[in-house]
Parts: sequence; C-alpha cells; structure tokens
Amino acid sequence: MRIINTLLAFLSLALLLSFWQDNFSFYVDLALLGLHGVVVGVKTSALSNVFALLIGFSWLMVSIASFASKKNTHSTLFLWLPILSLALFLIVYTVDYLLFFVGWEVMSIVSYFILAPTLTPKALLKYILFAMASALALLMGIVILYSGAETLLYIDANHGFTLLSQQMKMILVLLMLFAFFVKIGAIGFHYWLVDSYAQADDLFTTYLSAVLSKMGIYGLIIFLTQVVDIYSLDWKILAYTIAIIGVTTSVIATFKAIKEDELKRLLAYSSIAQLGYIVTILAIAGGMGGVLYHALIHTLVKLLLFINIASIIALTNRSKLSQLGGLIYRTPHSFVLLLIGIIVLAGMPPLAGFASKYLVYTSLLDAKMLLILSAVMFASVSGFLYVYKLIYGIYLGHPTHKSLESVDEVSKWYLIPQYIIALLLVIIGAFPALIVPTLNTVLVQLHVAPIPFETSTILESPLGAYNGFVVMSAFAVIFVLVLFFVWRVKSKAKNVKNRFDIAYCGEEPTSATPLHYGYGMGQELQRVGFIAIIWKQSSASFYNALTLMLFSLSTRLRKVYTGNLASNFNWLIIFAIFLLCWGLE
Amino acid sequence: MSSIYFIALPLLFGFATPIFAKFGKNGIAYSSVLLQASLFLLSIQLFVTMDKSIIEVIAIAPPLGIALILDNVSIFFVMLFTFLVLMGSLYYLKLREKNPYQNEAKFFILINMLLASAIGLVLSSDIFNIYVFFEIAGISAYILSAYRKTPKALEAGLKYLITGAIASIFLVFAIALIYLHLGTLNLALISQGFTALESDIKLLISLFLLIGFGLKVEIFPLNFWVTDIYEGSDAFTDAFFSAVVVKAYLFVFFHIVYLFLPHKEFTLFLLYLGAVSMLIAEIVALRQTNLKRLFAYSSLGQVGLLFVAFSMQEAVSITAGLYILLAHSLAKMVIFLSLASLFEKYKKEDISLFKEMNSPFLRNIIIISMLSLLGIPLLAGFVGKFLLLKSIAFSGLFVLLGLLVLASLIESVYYFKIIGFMFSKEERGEKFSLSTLQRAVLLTLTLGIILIGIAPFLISDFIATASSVMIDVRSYQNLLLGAN
Amino acid sequence: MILFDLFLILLIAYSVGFLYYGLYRNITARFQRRFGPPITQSFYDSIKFFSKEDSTSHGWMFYLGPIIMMTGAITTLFFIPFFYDRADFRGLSDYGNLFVVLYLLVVGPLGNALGVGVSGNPFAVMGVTRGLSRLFAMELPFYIAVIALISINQSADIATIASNQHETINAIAYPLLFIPALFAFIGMMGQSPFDVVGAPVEVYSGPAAEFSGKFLALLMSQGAIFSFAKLVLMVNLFLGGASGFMELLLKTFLLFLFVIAFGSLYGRFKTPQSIDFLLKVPTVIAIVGLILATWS
Repeated sequence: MRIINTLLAFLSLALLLSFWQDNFSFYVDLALLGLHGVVVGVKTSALSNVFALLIGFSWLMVSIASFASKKNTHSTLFLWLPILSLALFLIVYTVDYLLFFVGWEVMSIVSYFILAPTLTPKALLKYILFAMASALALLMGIVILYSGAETLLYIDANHGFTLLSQQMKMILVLLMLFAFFVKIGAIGFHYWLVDSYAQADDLFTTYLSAVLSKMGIYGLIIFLTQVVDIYSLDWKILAYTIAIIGVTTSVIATFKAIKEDELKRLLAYSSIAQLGYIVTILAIAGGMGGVLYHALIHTLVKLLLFINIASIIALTNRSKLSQLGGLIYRTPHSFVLLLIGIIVLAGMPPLAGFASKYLVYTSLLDAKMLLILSAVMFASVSGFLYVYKLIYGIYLGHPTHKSLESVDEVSKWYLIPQYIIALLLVIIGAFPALIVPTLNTVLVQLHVAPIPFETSTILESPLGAYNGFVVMSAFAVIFVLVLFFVWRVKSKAKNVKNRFDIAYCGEEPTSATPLHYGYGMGQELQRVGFIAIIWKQSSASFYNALTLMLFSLSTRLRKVYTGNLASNFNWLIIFAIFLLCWGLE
Repeated sequence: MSSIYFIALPLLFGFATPIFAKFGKNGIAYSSVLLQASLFLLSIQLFVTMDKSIIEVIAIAPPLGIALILDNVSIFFVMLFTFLVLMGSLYYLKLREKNPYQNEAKFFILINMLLASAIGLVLSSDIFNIYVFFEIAGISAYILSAYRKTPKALEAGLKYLITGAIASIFLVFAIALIYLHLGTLNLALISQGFTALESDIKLLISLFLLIGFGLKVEIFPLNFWVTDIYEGSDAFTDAFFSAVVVKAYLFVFFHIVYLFLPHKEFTLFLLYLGAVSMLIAEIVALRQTNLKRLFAYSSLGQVGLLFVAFSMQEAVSITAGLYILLAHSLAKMVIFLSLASLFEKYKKEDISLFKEMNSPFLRNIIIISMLSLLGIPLLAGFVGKFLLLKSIAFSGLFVLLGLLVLASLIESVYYFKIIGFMFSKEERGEKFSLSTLQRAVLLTLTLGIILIGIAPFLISDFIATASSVMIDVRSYQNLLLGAN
Repeated sequence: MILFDLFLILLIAYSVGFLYYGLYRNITARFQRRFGPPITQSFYDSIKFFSKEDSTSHGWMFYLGPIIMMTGAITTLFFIPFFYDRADFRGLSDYGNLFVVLYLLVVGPLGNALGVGVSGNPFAVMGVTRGLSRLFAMELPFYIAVIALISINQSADIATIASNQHETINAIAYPLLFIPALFAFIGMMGQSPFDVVGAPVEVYSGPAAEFSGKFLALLMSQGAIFSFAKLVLMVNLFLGGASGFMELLLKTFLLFLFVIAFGSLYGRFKTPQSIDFLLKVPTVIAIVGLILATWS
C-alpha cells in the first residue's frame, strides 16, 4: 500500500515538474444540470503550480518517511492519502468555486476518516464540526457570490461581487473569511486544530500542518485578490482587520506554544502562529511575495520538524518534553536536523527562515503598518523561547528515563526526507532570491508588484537588500576560523563519562535529582500580567457555552414532541387559528 | 391501459394470496417479490418507450370519471416507489428467515397495498380518488406500524390511526367544500375555477387542505405524532414510511398547491414553514438517543428541506427537490434496512448500538448514506442541495439560506456523533455479516447514491423534464381536459 | 583589501572592547568605594584562560556553544559600519542591513544556549531561560524604536540612518524613541536592573556556569567584541554615527559610561519584574514615540 502511495506521490511530483511551463485547461458546461452557461473546470496557472508543488513535495516526503515503521501501521492513512492529495490538487487547479467546494469537502471528509482511528471522540467531533461549519459557510458564500455573478468562475466573480449590495458584500466576506480562518486556525477558530494535530497519526500531522493549513491560505489568496480586490481603498478597514486578526493570532499562539509540554501541541501552536504572519501580510498590497515565500518556507520547515518529532516519538514512545531529554549523542543526526529546523522556524540568518521573515517585515514597513510590524516582531522574538524549549526538551539536558540512554539513531527513512528538506533550506538561505523569479510569475498573475530581482544571492525589498550568500559565507568562514583557533589551543579535557559531573552548588547530584526541569521553561512568565491572561483564556469556554445553549434549546423544543396526542392537538388548533388569522388578513 | 397495473396488480395480490400459498411456505413471499419486480420492469419499460409524451389512462371519461395521469414526473415516482419496495421486499426475504412477521400473508398484502396506494396518490387526477388512496395508504400504514403487537407498536398504531382519522376529516371537509362550490372533483377543473371563488371559501379550503395534508407530510407543527410512530414501528416498516409514503403525500400536496394555490404569499409562508420545520427537527434530534426516533427527526428535517425546495415554485428548485427526494429515499432505505438487521442482531435500539456494531460493510454503507444526507459532494445529496441553495440565493431569500445552512450544520452534529461512535475504540460486539442477498440490496442502493453523486448528468435530463412538467399547470389542465 | 579591513575591525573591536571592560570594572569599583583591578587585567585574564586547560567537557555540542557565540559576535560586528561617510571600516555592511544585524544580535546567545543546554547543568539552563524570557520583553521597545527609524529614513541601511542625522541626532530629535531604546540597550549590555541573566556574584548560575579554560576565554573575548559592536550600532542609530575614530570612541565611551553608571545605581529586577517593566514603561513610551515620529 505504501509503495503504491509513494509511487503515486513521486509520479505526481514528476508530472508537475515536467509540465511546469505547459498550459493545460479543461472545462465542462453544467447545462446538463439545468445550469445553462455555467462552466466549471481546471486550469494550470503559476499560482496553482506553486501550491501543487507544495502538495506533491509534502506528499512524497511523508510517504518516504512512512517506510520507517516495520509493519504497515498506517494502512488506512495510505489508502486515503492519494485521495486526499487528489482533492488538494483539485482545490488548487480549479478555476471555479463549485469544484473548489467539492475539493474542500472531500479534503475535510477524507481527513476525517484518516483522523478517526486515532482521535478521541471529542476531538474528532470538534474537528469535523469545525470543518463542516467551514464548508457550509463556504457553500453559502459561494451561492451568494454565484447569485451576483451568475457564474462560478473566479475571473467573473469580481464583477459579480460588485453587483451585490453593500450588506451582502459584508456578509459574503465574513462567511468566506470564517471558512478559511477555521482551516488556518486563526485565533478563536483554532479550537479544533490543536487537539487534532496532537492526536493524529504522527505522519499525518506532518501533512496536516504542511499542506492542509495552506489550503486556507490559498483560498484566502483567491478570494481576497480575485473576488474582493482587498487592496482597493474601499476595503481598507477590512484589510486592517485581517492584519490585526493575523497578528493577534501570532502573538497569542506563540505564548500558548511556550506553555505547552507536548511536542505536537507545541508545534501545532507554532503552526498557527506562523500562519498568522501570513494572514497579516496577506492584507497588504506589497505582501503577496512574502505570503508565498513564507508559505513555502513554512511548509518545508514544518515537514522537517514534524517528521523529526514523529521519528523521536516512534523511537522513544514518549511525546512530552518532560519525558524526554538528553538524546543528542544518541541521535546526533536528528539533533542537527532539528537544529536546522528551529533555526529556520525562528527566522535566524543565515538559513532560509530569515529570507521569508525579511519579506514579511519589509512589506509591513513599506505599507506603514508599524505597530502591527512591532507586534509581529515581538511574536517572532518570543518564538525563540519555544523553539529553544523544543530542542532542549528533547535533545539537551538530562535523560529523564533509563530507556532514553540506550536508544539508537532513528530509522534512515525518517532521516532521508529530513536531509532533503534541510538541504533545500540551506540552499535557499544562501540564495534567497533563487525562487523569486518563480514567485514573480505568480505575482504577475495576481496583478501585484513583483519582488525586484537581480541575482539569486540578493533578496531585494523596497527598503534595502541583503546578500544571503555573503551572510552565510561570513558566518561559515568565521565559524571555521574560530573552530580552528580553538582546536589549536591545547586541551587535555576529557569527556566526562559521568553526566552528573556538573557544577551544582558544591554538591554532587544523583540520579534521583530532577536535573531536566529546564523543560518547564517559560512557566515563570505566569507572573507577567498579560501572558497570564493569554494562558488563562481559552476559546473552549465559549464553545462549551454554545454547545450547552444548543442542548438546552434541544431539550426545550423536545417538549413539543411530548408523545401525548391530546396535548399535541393543541398545536394543531394553535396552528389552525394562526393560519386563519393570517389568512383573513 | 398500462398505468392501471401499478395500482390494480398490488391490490389484487391480496385476493390471490390463497393461490400463492399453495406453492409452499415461501410462495407468497416470492410471488410478492416477483410482482414488484415485474412492476418495476414495467415502469422502466414505460419510461423508455414514453418518449417524453404523456400517457393517460381513463376508466370513465373525465371530468366525471377517474383518470390516471402518467407523465414525466409521475413516472419518476412510480419507478422510485416500485424500486424501493422491491429492494425492501428482497431484503425481507432474508430477514424473515430469522424473525418473520406473524401471519405473513397479511403482511405482504399490506406492503403491496401501501405500494398501490402510494402510486395511486401520485397518478390520480381527481381529488376524490386522491382521498381514497389517502385512506388506503393510511389504513395499511396503521396496521403495519402496529404489526408487532408490542405495547409500543400498538401505541404507535393507535396514535397513527387517530391522527390519520383527523387528517381525513379535514381533507373530506376540503373536498366537500370544493364540490359544493365548484361542482367538480377533477383537479384541472378545480384549478381553473378556484381563483374565481370567494376569498373566505378559498381560505377555508386551503386551511383544511393544509392541515389535512400537513399532518401527513409531517410538517411543523403538525408532525408531533411522527416520531412516536417511527419508534413504535419496526425499522423495516419505517424504511417504507420514510422513503415511500411521505414522498407520495408530498408530491400530491405540492401538486395540489401548484394547481390551486400558487400565490406568492402562501408559498412564501410554506417556504419559511419548511425551513423552521427543518431547523426545529434538527435541533430536537441533537439529544436523541433512540436510533429510530433520531432518524425520524432526521426525516422530519429532510421533509422540511423538501418543503422549501418544492415551495420555491421554480423549475430549478423542483429539480433540486427531486434530487433531494431521490437521495433521501435511497439513503433512508439503506439506513432503516441496516438498522432492521442490527436491531435484531444486537437487541438494542440505543445510539450506542454503533459502538458495539462490528461489521465494516454496514459501517461503510451507513456512513455513505449519512454523508449523502448531509449533502457532501460526490454523493447524491449534494446535487440537490447545491441547486436548491443556488435557487434560493437567486431569489434573494438570504435569511432562508442562512436558516437552511444553520440547520445543516446542526444536522451534521448528530450525524457525526453517530459516525464517531462507529470509530469508537471501545470493545466491539460480536462480528456480524449480512447474507449475500441483503448485501446486494444495500450495495445497489448505495451504489445508486454514489453514482448519482458522481455523475448526476446521467439522470439530469429526466429530472429536469420531470420538474418542468410538474410545474406546468396549464399543460396539465389541457391534457386532462383535452382528453375529453 | 576587504579581508584586511575586516581584520582591522576585529582588532579594534577586540582591543577597545577589553579596554572598556577594564574601565567598567574600575568605574564600578569606584562607585562601590573601592579600587578596581588594573585596566588591562581583563585582557590578561582572557589570555591566561586561553592557555589554561578546561576541566570538563560534555561532548561536541558543548564546545560549539561558545564557538557559535564568538561567531555570532564577530559576524554582527562585521555587518555594522564604523563610519557613515568613509569607504573603509564598513566591513560587510553593504551586504546586509539593520534587519540582518537585529537577528545576528541573537544568534550568538542562542547558539550558546545550545552549548549550555547540553551541559545538563540546570542552573546554567536557568540562566538561559531567564535570558530568553527577558529577550522578547527587551527587544520589543528596541524594535519599535528601530522600526520607527527605518520608517523615517525609508531605509534599513545603517550608514544611511547614521548619515541622515547631521543636523540633529536622533536621540534629540526623537527622545521618545531614544529613551526606550536605551532601556533595552541597558538590558542588552547586561547591566542592572536587567542583569538577572548572568546574575554575577550572588547566584551561582548563569549560562557560563560550566565553561572553563579556553571556552571561558572565548566567552570573555566575545563579550568584549559584542559590547563594542552593540555600542557602535547604538551610536549609529541614535547618536549621529561617527566620521572618525576619535568621534567614534568618544560617543561609544560616553554611552558606555552612561550605561554602567545607570547599572551601578540600580538594583536588580527579577525576571518577571523586568519583563513587566520593559513591557510597560519603555514599550508604551516607544509606541507613543512611534506614533508621534511617523504621524503625517
């Protein structure tokens, strides 16, 4: 099963790359359904190719990693994964909202069946209800848009949108934003996301975070640029609102991530935060380059991180920071790969993460959204705490259990995809403008200003450029020189075999001493007012209240159906009288 | 003369049972199945040779006498009903091996009577005949729901009887008033003369009709009796109630609405009545734990949706309505038939049955049916739902649109609660597999759902014609009177 | 040519850094009514440590910590131009800009955090935790001020920002940006009241707890270089930059003097206290400053 799955993934990626430049389109008339003159279809374009590349690549990486487990443990996953990917390809290649919706629903439902065996009933219900709410909002929005445009194609949607009344426009925008924000997990709508990510099959979490969340971004791009024309003056307030939602998402999710102890929940919040950046700059005209760049980098880095974590969970059977620790010399390859991952995630130079952060920052600066930029940078810097926590909790410090001292390096099937991704991230770090020409074709398609481009080493922006190659080589050369210098200075130090041989208040710790308590770092922030508020607040209370309300309403309405015929006929009489009065009028 | 067979043969079946009983203990069962199969084939043959023209069968020349009209829309219903009853009977062939009804001959007679009356309702072109079939359908349904003679079943039968009697009273009043003022029972003639009536009389007639049929088509607030009936009856009989009987009443009701009362105000009222009906049914269903009741509420919700679709009085929305009706009938048939087997196996009707259920086949087909009911793309339910929402949006009824979407969301809550139970990681019950015949029946129905979902264009021409015929009052009048 | 330039920059930063460090020890000693060590003491110390052998090791990652820190410090230095109007001593600043420098500033500490983490010493990790927790609070006002400057100058180039100040220096033109940046800068220089990270003297902890010998020397040296780099950055951003060595030394020294004087006067905040303070007072001032400076 997984061999077929991998072959399919490889095939789709190969097809995609070999027909990258070719244009292909296919249209169907819906006259047969009684919808005359309504056309649906698929068509390749620069934008869809880029997103399809992300899908194909992630699919392949996840498939390769699946060979690590000896038994075919993920059999249902690999039955569904090709179908899921097909739905995703449909979403990105379609040119109309009907097929988009079909893809969207199939994506949600297929994910449901993949998630079903592993999730708790509550988390599963949460997932699907949010997915359904998203889909129904999308359907309603599509139908409203359709009633204005009388066609479902994206290209005519803008015209149809302008025909709607102001009120309907607002409702439509709210519906569509809701639909996509749920998938992205913007704050307030993320209630389903963390649990689903945490409990899903480890490899499927990778796919969820890397690809499925991007579909929300794709939907937003299409809707905001093709339909609404968000960058026009009429929608300035909406643009600001979206930016503020984005940045609030980032800040809150970052702090939620800092508090987490469970690996996958931490990364789930991190995903939310990263997508928050994307949403933020989606709202500004110059930000589209950054959106695509960051989406690309985030996909790569989340693939790397989640595969890494999946490998650690598979290796140790432990999924909490407080249960791990000290794995660095047992699994050095994994450590280095995770290190690369978190450097990118934190947006540090000289790796690729900095390039995308750079575009995020400069586009916000260029749009004069300075306070929002400050908040974005704040979230970004706060993120250091959780990325360090992640690498410390797993690899550094002390092992929390004896079993951790005797494990071996993770399976090579986990390492291969990680190395491929890490290599890509390093290359993009050194040549940050390497992908700019490709992105520019998308930007031209979307009618926004392209990113200036001269050579692949210099990433340009309206406020100055930086040379990724020089930054990386400077860093590398200095590193090697310092290393060389230190090497030459004589040392007789011996590697301590006894890991308790540390400076510890003049005492010698024993194996009973809890030396790994660093995994709890960040907890002291509880004492900082606003962080405590963020940690205390949860959207759960809101949704619980909603559920409770609905259930009590259900109980009350149930009283209509008493089962007692005599009292029931009262309803008949009331209804008859009502009808009579209404009719007489 | 062929359309009379659909009514006459199943009715005559009753008289012939002593003969069939001679062929051994399975004689009646097999002959019933054979009858239904031949009726289904006949309906297909009629459909194929119909060539979009309209066939008319006259016993006595209208306007005085009885006329059965088999046009593009009624052939749809005839095919659907015969097919569903055939499927049900085939399913029962295996069901009866373990848990047969007492006095089976009567049971088969009743089922065939139900079929005959449902088809009769659809074909009849005068209001008195409609009343007759209304009663036949009612009587056979009362007995069927009380058939098991358990306390609950008897309660259900009694309730059904009382409600049905009241519905008949209102209908008879309406018919009497119509005859008193127009002097005819012919639908076409009534439809021509109705607008000329005094407004008070019109109001009274529409009120009686609405209440009389309202009780039968299960619309809020006249659907208070429905869930008790479903709970008391066998799941197997519920399948027919939900998939066949209600659909026949619905068609007749809206046929009459189109013919007599096509006022915009009135239909607007029906629209919101349908939406409210759906919303309330879905909300109440949220906390149901008895499966039969739960799916009864779900049926009420779907009927509300159908009400909306047919009240729109547009060709597109009626097309949508027919798609939804088809999808709902197929899905409910699958669900209730599977429930019939599951109840028998696991001896419980609680929602937790699905935690215990251990049959991948049943799980998969029930999930597919439910997803279709929810309107998930690539399944039959989506086509109708999309077309309906589209036509609502085109009419600018955005509040209605919102209500329906909200109701669908609430619907998905309890459907997915059930589906979640099927994936529960708790200890499963005994393994359960159906016989090949039962599998084949369920699979046929499920494949129908999938096929319509993936390739709706296979039947879209047919359904589009049917819906345009259904709304075309003038040609109906011409047809009926032109045959004079 | 550029290599020679870089070498000179490093040499100057290294010597001036240690000079300042020596002065720091002397001046704080005077504040505390005692005589400090000779000015060159710290320099000698570092040379001495280089020749000492280190006692314990926790594997290769442990060694890499200080090395990354040193690399980060030197790289940062190279991306900050000394003078705004001269072709020499620009280092690599033409290839980067302020955003690169802002991020390079944290590369070193984070790299070191890895080395510290692998040592397994919980007290050392405590220091790292404090540092990272304080980091975001400290960077926020600083970033706001820097964002305002970039927006005002419409350029992220440090030399451009420095040279745009010949009429009035930014510290005077935008005091509401300078003050919060200065608070953050005090923290960055590891001075009271924001010095709980290293927590010298009282608490037996901090990132350096496990390092000895040449690695301690490496940490000391990078501290000197890094301090000087940060001083030059601050001078460039707010104090009008420099066009000659005398001006550069004078301005950096004055700033340095202010920082250590301030640090000597105040007690130490606990970590949550300092986060709370930095997120309230300087941040609010910076936001007001940002709005005033860019409102048009």
